[in-house]
Amino acid sequence: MHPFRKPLATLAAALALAACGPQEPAPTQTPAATEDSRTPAQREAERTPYQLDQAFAKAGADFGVPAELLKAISYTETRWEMIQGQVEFEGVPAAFGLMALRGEKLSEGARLAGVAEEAVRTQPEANIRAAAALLSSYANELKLDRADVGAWAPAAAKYSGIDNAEAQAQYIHQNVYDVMRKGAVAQTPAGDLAVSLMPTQAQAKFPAPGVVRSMSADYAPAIWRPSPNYNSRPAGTDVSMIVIHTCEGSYSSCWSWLTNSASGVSAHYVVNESGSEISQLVLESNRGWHVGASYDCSLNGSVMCGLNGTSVNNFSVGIEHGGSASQTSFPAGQIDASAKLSCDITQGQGIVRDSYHIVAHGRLQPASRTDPGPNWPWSTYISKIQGYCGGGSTGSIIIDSNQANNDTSKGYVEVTGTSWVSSTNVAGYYGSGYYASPTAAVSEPVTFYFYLPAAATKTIDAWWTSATDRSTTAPFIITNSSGTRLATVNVNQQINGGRWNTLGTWSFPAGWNKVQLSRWTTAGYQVIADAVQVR
Amino acid sequence: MTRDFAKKAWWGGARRWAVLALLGAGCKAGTCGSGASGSGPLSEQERRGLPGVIAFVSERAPQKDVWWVRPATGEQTQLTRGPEDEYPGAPSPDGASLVVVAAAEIQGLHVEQLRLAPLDGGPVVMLAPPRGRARNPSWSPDGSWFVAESDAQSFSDVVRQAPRADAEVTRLTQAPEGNFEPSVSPDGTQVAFASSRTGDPEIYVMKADGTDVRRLTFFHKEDMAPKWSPDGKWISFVSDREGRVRVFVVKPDGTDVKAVSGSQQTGEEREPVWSPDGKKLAFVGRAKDQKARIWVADMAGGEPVALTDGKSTDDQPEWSPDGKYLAFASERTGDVELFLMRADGSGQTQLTSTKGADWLPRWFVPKTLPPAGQGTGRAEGT
Repeated sequence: MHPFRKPLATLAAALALAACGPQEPAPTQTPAATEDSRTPAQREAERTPYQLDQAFAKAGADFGVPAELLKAISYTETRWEMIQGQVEFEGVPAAFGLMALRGEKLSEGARLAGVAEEAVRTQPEANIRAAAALLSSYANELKLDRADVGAWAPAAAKYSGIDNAEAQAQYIHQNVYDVMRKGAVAQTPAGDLAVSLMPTQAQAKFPAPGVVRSMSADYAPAIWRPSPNYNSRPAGTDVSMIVIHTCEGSYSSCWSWLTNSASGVSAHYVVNESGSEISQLVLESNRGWHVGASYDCSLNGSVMCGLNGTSVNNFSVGIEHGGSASQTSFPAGQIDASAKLSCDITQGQGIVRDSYHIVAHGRLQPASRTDPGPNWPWSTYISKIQGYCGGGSTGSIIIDSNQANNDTSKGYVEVTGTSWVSSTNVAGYYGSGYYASPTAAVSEPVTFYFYLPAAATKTIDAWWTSATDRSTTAPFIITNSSGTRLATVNVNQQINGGRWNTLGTWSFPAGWNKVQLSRWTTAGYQVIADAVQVR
Repeated sequence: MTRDFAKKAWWGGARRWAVLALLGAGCKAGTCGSGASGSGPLSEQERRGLPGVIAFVSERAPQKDVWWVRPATGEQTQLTRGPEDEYPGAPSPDGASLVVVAAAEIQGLHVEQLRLAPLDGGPVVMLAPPRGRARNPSWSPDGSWFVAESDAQSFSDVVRQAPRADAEVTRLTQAPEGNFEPSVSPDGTQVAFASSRTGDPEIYVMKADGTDVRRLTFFHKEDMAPKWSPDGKWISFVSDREGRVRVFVVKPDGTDVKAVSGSQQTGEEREPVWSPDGKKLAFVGRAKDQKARIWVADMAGGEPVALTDGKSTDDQPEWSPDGKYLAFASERTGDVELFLMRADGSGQTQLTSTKGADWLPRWFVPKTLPPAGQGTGRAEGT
């Protein structure tokens, strides 16, 4: 029997709440449908496939802990997901369950609640109860007023395991108590109420975060929180890689740990869960210690000792992300903020924007079972970086003769008549092949449409494959969105195949403009429609 | 656990076979996967005829080690014992040894090293000093040299060397944007590789001495992981040019590019692997909201066929040396284990069952079959 199948009468209230104030920023863009066809709401629902309000209420009542505090901590740590954490940093044990219990805290909570540790790791109710028991013991220790939810702040700070005072203040004020004030709600995939946290006026009795912040030297939107855990890159190092990590914990605990000299690890940047804040810990020009832990090379007859040459750490920039690799989805805001940051890093460091250069931490291994990571939306991420770095409306549009290769919101191809044959016979074609047709006294063009959101002056290039049977006067016709023919350019397709050839530069109005390749020219040859570039 | 699994599957399969026998039907194209999964494991007799050994990575210890298993008996032998993570690379053409990729974190640095591990238990040869990148080895057909990815002199280059310690290492590529995933042609005269030299990865071919570089693909998205077919007629690669990653093939002269899955709904595709005769390509496809399945496409044409049913994640197909069977990694027992099946998807049989993931199979015929019962080997998964 499922422990969380009790019906709840407050669905209507929850839905009303959902309408008035979801806490995660609305996803700004739907990820590529082919990568993950779930709607943002479905993805979010799959995080919490249980009805948990009663479990929170019961644990709260049994251990004398405010249920809203338990819910708010759980939301902050895992967004109400039963995570199965991994060790990301040596010295920080893996986090488990809705409450992200780890290491000794998990053992202590299990003991205090009288449940098995394995149950705490795997069962939602046991996980909540262990956390409640642990918080209750902190309340006794701190002699706090259990009836005042604001007085619980020091217990929540202790629970977080964060040492750094500013990170503690951030965790308390901007995460745990912030969600209590704003409220939050989650539904199960079946549409039932999973967790509801009603908005309250809770005010944490806890020192406020410092207001003096220095800004990052490398990335203006980031807050500079310097870590002592770095050294210089070797002279002449070319930074050529970005390594993507997940914190296996909350953002605040992450940057706190990585700026602690005792941790011995760091990353250049940490991005928070919603994408609203980024910390820079190490200058990009220095070497962060984000890849790896300690290793005793004497264990293997010193085979791996005495390294020479280069290393991934020498030439990479590391970005940590608040959250867990085991979570079922990443917030769109976080992906977005991270992609903007990655774009900036690639521009500053001259890093190629592809999946050989922007990789998951796991991809540093020569082989992986989760290739390149089960839930991080890689295709979306790389295309977002490319988009922020000059793709889209400000960059070039390429329209291929193979429609499957086109983003049809920006450009598409249309074939007229029945004479055009799809071919891959002559090498050097763009994409997956080209159209060929015999010249004839009829237009029947292939039309490459491209969309401009605003009027612009653009240069048009065309691609073809060359052979002796090609037309030397292949007619490309340029027509604007109002239907005015701007030019006809005749090209010799017997030469210059397998590369972009400039047709000319024209001013185009906004809307769907087009480049057409007509069949109508000297008979006895082939005209080749392969691809058009607008830049 | 293993015994229960085998027994249950066998009984279900027996009934299904009986029905198929009554209908006089074999494994019909397109339906083979779903039907095949329940068609029962391979018989003891059929198992005994399976060739060679399968090297794989096992996570039964805290670190990853390379083991090998005889598919005929299930007997397993540990090949590497280093404290680093070790992965099976490419077996040498004579079957005497395996290139192993070792990876470790040392003082905050990720390092890799290529090593040559003889199957007879002889000393492991360190092929180059440890460095940040040393992976994707591919052998010349005569075994006198191999190519691999290396960052010894750059971010990532294709290098060539003889399979011995202190061998001279020749850098075959120069592009600072990186050169990746080399694959030697079956006649040993050319090397296919991916390079980001134009700003995004494209497929290239060069002579085996690094000269005469020819670009095979042209598109502004990512073309990656070229693999030469054993008959030399095709090069497979993966590309996200259509908005999802698909497996494509192209002739070595750059003509005839095509996606191998046609209009079949395979989803995101990866890990193409050529059959020994070069006529078929097995790959992994994961459709929307589904688990990864193993598919096989026939180069002669037609739609690809699913060999596994998608009820659990099935991954990393690897052909038997005779092309009649496939090994693959599956999560169907809750752990990741190696399985076997006939090339039509029937006879799915669990091969390993140790706690901790067993994956990345490399199936080959060893030069001499090592003596049974050596090391910590033991029979499993029968």
